[in-house]
Amino acid sequence: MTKYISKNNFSRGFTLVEVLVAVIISTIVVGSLIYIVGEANVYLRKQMYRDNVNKYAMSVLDDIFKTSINANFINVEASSRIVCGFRTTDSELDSLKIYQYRTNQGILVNGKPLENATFHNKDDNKDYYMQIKEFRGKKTFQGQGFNSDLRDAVIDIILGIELHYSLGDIIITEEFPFKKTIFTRKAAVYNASKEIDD
Amino acid sequence: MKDKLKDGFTLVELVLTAFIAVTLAGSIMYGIVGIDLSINNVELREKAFQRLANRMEELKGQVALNNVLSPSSKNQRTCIEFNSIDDMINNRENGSGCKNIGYLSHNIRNRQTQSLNTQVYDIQASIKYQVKTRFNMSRVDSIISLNVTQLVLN
Repeated sequence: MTKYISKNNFSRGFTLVEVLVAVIISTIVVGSLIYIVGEANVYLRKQMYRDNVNKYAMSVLDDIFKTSINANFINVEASSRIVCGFRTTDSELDSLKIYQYRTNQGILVNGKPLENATFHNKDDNKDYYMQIKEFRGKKTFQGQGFNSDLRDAVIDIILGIELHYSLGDIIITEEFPFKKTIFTRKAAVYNASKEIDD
Repeated sequence: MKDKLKDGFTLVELVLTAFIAVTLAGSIMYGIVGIDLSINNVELREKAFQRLANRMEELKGQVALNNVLSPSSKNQRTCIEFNSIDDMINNRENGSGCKNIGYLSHNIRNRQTQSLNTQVYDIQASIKYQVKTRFNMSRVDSIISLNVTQLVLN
């Protein structure tokens, strides 16, 4: 091995052109790798942020869905507030569940943040945070051609979340609109039974 | 080997090496574009399903409350994904407000039963939308269907 090396170019070192070519090629390869890893990192971060927004919205809408289909009374008339009433006996409503929103706190249930749903707020996260831009309920069927029972029984929950994140010095804002239609089964039956009683 | 290091490489060897390098780089790029496309299509499918589930809730309400607006429909245009929150609130389903469109169909059938107190309805609903393909060269239709049986007390 010693004999082999001593007899070829390695023993004489490399010329300036060879070294320069090697340096240029290494620079291009390393630069490309750094760029690819950086881009992949940015892409994965963005996907993670978007996924967190989707998870939060799904948790909120699923919770409202489960509550609404079991509530005896639903009110979506108030702006930015959804009120669900329950009765455990034959008497009048004996408990309420009220959904509201705060831009930087997310959706609140009876004044407290929703359990099992993580809202990434502005105070705790500087590089990335969510804000609630829109939250309200409305009747799906409005206007002529629908009977009053149908108008009251089917509601749309509208939820709009803004996602803010920084990429270097740039702040990027993305909007995520969500809508869930709910047929409030129990309230429809409750209203029908009340009409019969009356 | 000794001669090769001294004499350098032939044109054929260099071209072959370049070809292999280009093939590898191309394969990596092709894979990355494919993954991005798959993620987008999964998200689109979830949104299409959500739109279909919303439609099914509307139909269930109509059937349960005996106010069926239309027993069947075919390829009604709808918006699967809005561009912005304002577009959704103002229901801008046509034009620039909608990012992805779909087509809803449904069929409500009263299953004839002998019971005087109950009626059974079969509700079928489906949504058709276009799946994005590589480089947006062509688009392929995809359909999601939901079937529900609803019992209605007279």
